[in-house]
Amino acid sequence: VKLTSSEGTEFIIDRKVAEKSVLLKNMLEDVGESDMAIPLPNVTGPILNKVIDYCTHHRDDPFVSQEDDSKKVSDDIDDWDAEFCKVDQGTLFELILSANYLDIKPLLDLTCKTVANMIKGKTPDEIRKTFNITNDFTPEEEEHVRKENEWCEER
Amino acid sequence: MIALPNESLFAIFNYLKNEDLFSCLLVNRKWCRIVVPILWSKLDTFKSRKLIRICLLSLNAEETKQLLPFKIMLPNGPKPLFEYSSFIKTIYFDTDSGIIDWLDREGNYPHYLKEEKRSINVVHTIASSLIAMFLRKSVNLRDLRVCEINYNQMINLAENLSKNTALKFLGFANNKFGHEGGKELAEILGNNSTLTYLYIGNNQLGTEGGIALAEALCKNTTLTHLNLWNNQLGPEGGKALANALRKNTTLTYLNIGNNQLGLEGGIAMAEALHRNTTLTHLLLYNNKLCPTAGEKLAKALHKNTTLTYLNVGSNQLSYVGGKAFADALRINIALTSLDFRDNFNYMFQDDLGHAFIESLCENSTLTDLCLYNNNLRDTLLTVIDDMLTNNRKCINEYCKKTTYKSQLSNISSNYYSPIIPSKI
Repeated sequence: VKLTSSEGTEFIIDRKVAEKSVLLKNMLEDVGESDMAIPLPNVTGPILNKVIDYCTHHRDDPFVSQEDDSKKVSDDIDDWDAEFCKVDQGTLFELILSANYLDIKPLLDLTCKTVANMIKGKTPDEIRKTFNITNDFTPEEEEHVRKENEWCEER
Repeated sequence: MIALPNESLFAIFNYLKNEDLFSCLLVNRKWCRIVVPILWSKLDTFKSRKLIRICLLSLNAEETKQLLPFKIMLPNGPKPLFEYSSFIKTIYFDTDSGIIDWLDREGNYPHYLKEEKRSINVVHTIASSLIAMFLRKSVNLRDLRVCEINYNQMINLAENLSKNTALKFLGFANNKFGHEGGKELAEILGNNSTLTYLYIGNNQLGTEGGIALAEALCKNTTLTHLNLWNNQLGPEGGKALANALRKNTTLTYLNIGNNQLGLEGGIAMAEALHRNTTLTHLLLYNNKLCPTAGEKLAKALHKNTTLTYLNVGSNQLSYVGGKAFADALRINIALTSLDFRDNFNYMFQDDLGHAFIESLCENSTLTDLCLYNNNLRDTLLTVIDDMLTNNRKCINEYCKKTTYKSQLSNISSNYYSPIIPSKI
């Protein structure tokens, strides 16, 4: 299967690897095998490279169906996946967007868990610093939000 | 830096626990708007007076009115920033300690009244106002469980419940409702067409409550799970429910353990099983069922082809009842799990063990048979375990071949832990 990234770089991968992406799987089922490259204008070359790395490593994993919306845990990441996610924040966010676009549930879960782990244990200010976010609350608003929700910290 | 779309942030926040969600809440407006619905989707911290205070702010005039006689000082802060109750999907109201704490510290409730009966009344009324408010405002509420509150009856329960039509799971376990409460619950069930689960165990509903619920069950067409354990239903309550099982065609799970059904209730249940074709799980543990009732129930299994789980543990079925079940297993092809624990208290029952072994030679569907505490020798139990394990293996193989998703583990379960009724 041939894929082209946003800047036109071509990638050739096994069909089985490509099928980790539900988007590509459906496309391939619709058009069948063809020499035509599938354009992925939303994914850059370096990110596509990472995505292919992931799909190749996990090519033999069984397909896990969508679970219910119960609370999930984020501390079940294995060593390879943890190493895979040791990238800068921009890359990590782009991986989330690509996993979302290409519909690769396990990669989306992994990257979201990684971001969740970056949030864990931090104060609001530390979170803002980590993700370079500006606080647009007025002091009164912030106080209201705090007051109205502080019950959730009691266990 | 690229910005993540809301749906990705939502997915990320779903991995976080409350204390981290609280930090995210305060990051900025965008994060706040995404976190609030997650934080409020499940309320199970009614220990907190702070939560009680915020919730009290949402009471309407009618809900406030019933609190006026108590002369407590209700919070009168500004309107909350969000319509928090509209996000609630699940409520586990299992303690009134938050209400009591709120009364003590903020409600300005005269201390000298605390020892009196009125103090129970005020806590009760606040809880009932709050639940009325939730049922009115929480349009997404699917699961409401109120338990161990120890009120005789929730005021206006039926009326408030009829306001909410999204509710699927209702739990009122351990509340000492009594038979009047049972009748009220029956009325709810009779008028409701969304509930699928009703858990009202341990409520002293009594024979009267049982009969009222049975009547409602005859008409109801949505309920699939009904848990009535420990309600003193007695033989008459059992008979009424058995009668309902002949008419009802939606119920798949019925727990009426610990209800003193006795011989008559047991026989009625057996007759119901002859006809009913929807029930898959029936729990009749600890019901003073005698060998004759056991024989009738076992006989019913010759005909019934839908029941997959039957619990007749902790009765007095003895050898005669046990032998009848062993015989039934030769013919029955639906049952996958039979709990026959604790039905003898003296003498080794080698004959019964052999009877089960012989019947299992002809049975290929049963995968769990609990014979715990029946004075069976370990050697016989081991043989039975091996046979059950073999059934599991065959079923798993079959599932593999036919691509059915198999859910069986290869470990047999002859030595179950005793049944512990869940709190909720």
